[in-house]
Amino acid sequence: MECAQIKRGEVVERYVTGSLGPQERESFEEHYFACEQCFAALQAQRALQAELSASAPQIRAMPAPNPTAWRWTAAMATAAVVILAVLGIRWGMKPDLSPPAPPTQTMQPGPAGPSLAELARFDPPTYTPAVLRGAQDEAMRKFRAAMKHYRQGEYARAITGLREAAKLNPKDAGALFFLGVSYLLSGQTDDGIAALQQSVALGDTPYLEDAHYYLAKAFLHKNDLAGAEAELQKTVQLKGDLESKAQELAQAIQALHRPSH
Amino acid sequence: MKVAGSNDTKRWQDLADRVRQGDSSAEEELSVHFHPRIVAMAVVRLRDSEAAREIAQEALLAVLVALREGKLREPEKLPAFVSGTARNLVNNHFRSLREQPKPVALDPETPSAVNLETEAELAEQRRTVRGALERIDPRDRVILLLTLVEGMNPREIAPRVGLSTENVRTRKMRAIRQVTEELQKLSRKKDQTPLSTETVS
Repeated sequence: MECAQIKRGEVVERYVTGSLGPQERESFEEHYFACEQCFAALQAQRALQAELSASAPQIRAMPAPNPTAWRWTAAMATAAVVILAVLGIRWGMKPDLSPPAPPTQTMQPGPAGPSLAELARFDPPTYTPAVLRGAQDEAMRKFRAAMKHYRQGEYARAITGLREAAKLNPKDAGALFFLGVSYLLSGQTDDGIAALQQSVALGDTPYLEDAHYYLAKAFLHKNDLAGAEAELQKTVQLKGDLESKAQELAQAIQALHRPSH
Repeated sequence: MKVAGSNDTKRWQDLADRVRQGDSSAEEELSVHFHPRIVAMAVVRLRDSEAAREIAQEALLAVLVALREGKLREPEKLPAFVSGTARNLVNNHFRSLREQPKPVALDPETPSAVNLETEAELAEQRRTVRGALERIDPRDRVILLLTLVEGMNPREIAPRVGLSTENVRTRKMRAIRQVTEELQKLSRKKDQTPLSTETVS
């Protein structure tokens, strides 16, 4: 493998996203173990990927301009001017070539309800530090330090600390829950699901309802509607704070199933 | 750009010879060059930076032992030897994860002492990337997110951002180049220090 081929084939990008085949991956690894330029490109894309993961919720929350809608409205407005002009000429009237009225919402194509991607989105669940009696153990210290990063939106750093906390105390449902959420917020959905399922497996803990609810969000992100619905049903059965939100989300998912008439 | 040209061949042979002869500066040079590469490979494959650091230590040790004992038959292929050693360790790690019950799979060993200089460098790198991301068009940020985090290709991204596939590809490449250039400027600044790493070219 050579540098030019790597650039042309977008190999660095495909490597960091895990979409290279095994042979191509090994070949690229042998290359960058010797090549400074390609290794620098790899490190840059890894840094970019990490930062994008950390700020994914903010980027997704930003309303992106919709050029398709803009193109539609512009095209429709132009067409309207032409049609009016032609009709005016046909009817023997002076065509009115004044600027068209501003485009209205009805001219823009758009879905009636929220999309699956929108349903999968969520704001990071808030964490309020509890007042603790007695001395804190190492696991709790790690957990609290990690949650400082979590509250600042530094999910990659939170993951590191939460993993350590969960290692020191594997029965800490909170550490596993926030670890799962941090993974989801970093775009690592499968790891997020694994950690949330471990939190659920601990049984009746203060995080059980939340873990089911965010598992539903994770399954939605993976387009697994049945998995999401099952988790929402479990959330509702617990009759806790998230009952009505889970019901609304389940209804929205069912609306996605229904054919639109 | 070259790969394994005659200069490189000589470089790896010399390095391997020096390690075999017990030259500690050669061992350091080997470590400076390959350690970040092994970490990068292991992180990409394992998605676990702590396990990656452990594997990097283990791989470097195995390579050094092999070199000291003169076991590398083709020293000019040193980079391939190191990447192969690291890959084996990554595969072993995968196998051990599969053999362990699930909760243990999340629990890598705690890393060794944190290098403060590295932490500071990482923080500066993060600031640079964040700044570069803020300066690009919001739609390009979405394209980069969908590409590098969601693993989508330009054809899949195009309808989501309302652009043609070709336009998405062009914008993506331009945005990546922009961020990469800013990081390279940062790297060049860092390399002006006396402890800078050597260049292969």
